[in-house]
Amino acid sequence: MPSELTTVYVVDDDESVRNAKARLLKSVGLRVEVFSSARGFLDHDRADNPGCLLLDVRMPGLSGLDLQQELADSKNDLPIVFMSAHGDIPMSVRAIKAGAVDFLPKPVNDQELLKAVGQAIDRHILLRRKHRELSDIRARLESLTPREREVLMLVVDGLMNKQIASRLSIAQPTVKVHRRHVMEKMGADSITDLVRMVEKSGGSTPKG
Amino acid sequence: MSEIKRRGLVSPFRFLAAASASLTLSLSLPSLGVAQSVGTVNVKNVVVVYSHESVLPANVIVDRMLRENMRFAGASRIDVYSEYLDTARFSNAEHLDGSMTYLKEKYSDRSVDLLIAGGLESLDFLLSHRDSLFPDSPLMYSCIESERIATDKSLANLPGVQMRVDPVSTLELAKALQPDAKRLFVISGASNRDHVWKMKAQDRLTAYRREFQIEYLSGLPLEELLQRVRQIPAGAIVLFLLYMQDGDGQYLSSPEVLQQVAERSAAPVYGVYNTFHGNGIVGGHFATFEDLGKETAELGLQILNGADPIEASAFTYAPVNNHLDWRQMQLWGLNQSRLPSGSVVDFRELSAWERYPGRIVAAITIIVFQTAMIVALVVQIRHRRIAERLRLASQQIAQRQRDELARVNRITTIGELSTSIAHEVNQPLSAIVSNAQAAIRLLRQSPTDTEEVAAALHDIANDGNRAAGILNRVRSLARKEQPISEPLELNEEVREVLRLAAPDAENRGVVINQEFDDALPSIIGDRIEIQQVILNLLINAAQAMQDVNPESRYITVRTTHDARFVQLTIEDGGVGLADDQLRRIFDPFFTTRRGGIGMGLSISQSIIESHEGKIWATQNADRGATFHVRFPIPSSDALDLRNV
Repeated sequence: MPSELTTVYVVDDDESVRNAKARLLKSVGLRVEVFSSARGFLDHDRADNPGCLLLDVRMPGLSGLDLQQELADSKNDLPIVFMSAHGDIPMSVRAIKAGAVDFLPKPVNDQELLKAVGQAIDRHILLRRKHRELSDIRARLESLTPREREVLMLVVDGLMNKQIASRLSIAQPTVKVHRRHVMEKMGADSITDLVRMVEKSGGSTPKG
Repeated sequence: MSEIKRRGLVSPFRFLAAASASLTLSLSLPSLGVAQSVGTVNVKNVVVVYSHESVLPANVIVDRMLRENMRFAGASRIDVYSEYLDTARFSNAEHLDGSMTYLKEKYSDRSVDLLIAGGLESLDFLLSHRDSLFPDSPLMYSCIESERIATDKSLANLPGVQMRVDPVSTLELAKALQPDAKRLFVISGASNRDHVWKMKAQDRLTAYRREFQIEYLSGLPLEELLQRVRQIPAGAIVLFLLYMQDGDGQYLSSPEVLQQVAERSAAPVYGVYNTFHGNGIVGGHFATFEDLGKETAELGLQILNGADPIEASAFTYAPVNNHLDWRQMQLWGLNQSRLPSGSVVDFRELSAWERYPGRIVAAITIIVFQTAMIVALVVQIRHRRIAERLRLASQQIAQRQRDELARVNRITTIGELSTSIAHEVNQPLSAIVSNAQAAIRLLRQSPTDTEEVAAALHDIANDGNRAAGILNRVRSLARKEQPISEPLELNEEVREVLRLAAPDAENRGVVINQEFDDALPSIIGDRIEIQQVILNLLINAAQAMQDVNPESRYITVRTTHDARFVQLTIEDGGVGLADDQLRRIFDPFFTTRRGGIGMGLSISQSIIESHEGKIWATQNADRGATFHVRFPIPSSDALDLRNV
């Protein structure tokens, strides 16, 4: 289940629709913030919480799709659930291609809405977790000395200690010490673990 | 004056002076002539002595004819002196002696060049006293009965104009007119002369004793005479001779007696004496006193000029004819075609036609013309009424067609707005569904947040109303009712329409600016039709911007007013209109966009015109077009009336 701070942002120019969606989401225990326009949402000072955006496609001024574009440009990964009237197929295709989680026709079935919102939030949480993991790995990689990083890359490539020693022209026991430090610094339990981390960080050995 | 003309332009003073000079000259010439003639003229004196009084019609006529026809004899002027013996009223010898003395004294200082005896008594008198009175003056007579001349040898050598009293010819005339008459009444008075005439007539009428039952009403007192006249049967012939005195010795005027007789008689009256003519007789055989007077003057002039009196007299006679009174003939219904030839019909009352042919022709022409005009006008009015009825009928048909077309246009418009309308209906429906689902969840929770549930239900109700409102607007636009007139606030109608049309426009990326005049007066019109026009114009504006840069997609809806008009302008930043498009934009089936049928603006125009308003389009200075709609501000009375 989402944490306390998980927030759904409802952006709709129609007040009654906005309030009704908010009430529905609140009734399942979600935290909701409402905005009457896309601009209002963008200008709002948001906390970096997990959540999602419930967005009406048709709005005067900045439309839903415009907002989606702006968020993408600013590398904001808040998932978007679109709502629109029937018949906006070209628009929905565009929205989905641009990364929308879902595109709900109005009037929106509450189960579908809640499911879509839930999925979007889960996805955001997952994304945030992935981001967090990656930055963690990168931070650990940063903490390695250049020699330790060299050793790491050769270990990940599957070389034996003896081969690493000859490649780096250092003594085999010295390789073992570096290897132990790398394992400790990276928090890896096994060579497999270490390989997964390096792949996640970028799939290739970071340049010294 | 010709001198003035030659000079050309002259001063007014000069002109007046010349005119007055010529006036003086022309006046002085005749007076000079008169003075000359007075000095040299020779005057001839003619004395006419009449037997009777001066007012006797015969004497009046003869005297007038003498004076008119005896003015000059050669170079001599003729002075006519008239004397009246009045012997009928003064028949005693003393009177005649006195008259003689009077005349003798009167004419003692002048010569008498001609003496005329007017009447038998006068002739007797003058013959008796001629030597002592006017011994050297030639004597002639006038109006003496031919019988007297023929029977009296002493008159044979006397010149004069004879007069025939002819009861026989008069009776012949009466017979011709009344061929079935069997009774003859002969009327005469009691004086000597009356008696003489009666005796003469009686003598000559004996020849008719077999033909007629003849009765003589002679010498009767007037009352008795008139009494007897009343008993005269219709179809008889009445012959009036003379009535200078009645049986009571009263002197009378024969024409006056005749008039009374004619009034009372049931049969036509004829007379032998020309002064009766025109006084009630149908007619008679006699010479007119006009002719007698004229002939007397002619003979007198010849004698004055030295002609042989007897010779001249032999050729002098007044024409004797049948004289008839046209009025009496009409009165008695006597047939004019029975008249002997040579009869003279006098007193013919000319018919209006004979008297005023020109005026009557003119009047008839005018009347005919007027009648024709009236008929033409009536026909025209009738045609106009029929045309009016037809026009009204065709107007009603046209109105119905227009209403129907307008309705079709509204439905088409609604169709075009269907996506927008669906969106507008979906919004509250969507809200309702969400609120209801929220309420269900809230109710399942424990503890139940009843306030939140109540708020949800409240919102549901509001949104239900909202959806219903939209559907009502759509439905009313599609309604098929007759247009009605009511006071409308234009701003309200524009807002109402914007609720339907704005979402569509906004979906097209159009920004709608609203500039409303808050002090806008009410107008009178049909709500739906006015909304339709606004809707058409908004959709038009939105569609005009389909292909333009998103930044310039705007519509400004503006209301304004002045003293007489309320005005709505809808300005867009679209592609605008070319000049020929501006001219034809309101034509039916004129469209600038693909798929349009071109009826929207045409219908809008007919709607606005039926509201006595005006709609027109102008090209904006920079880009796009502006549509203007103007409504007259109704008088406060009209508004009050509508509000009742």
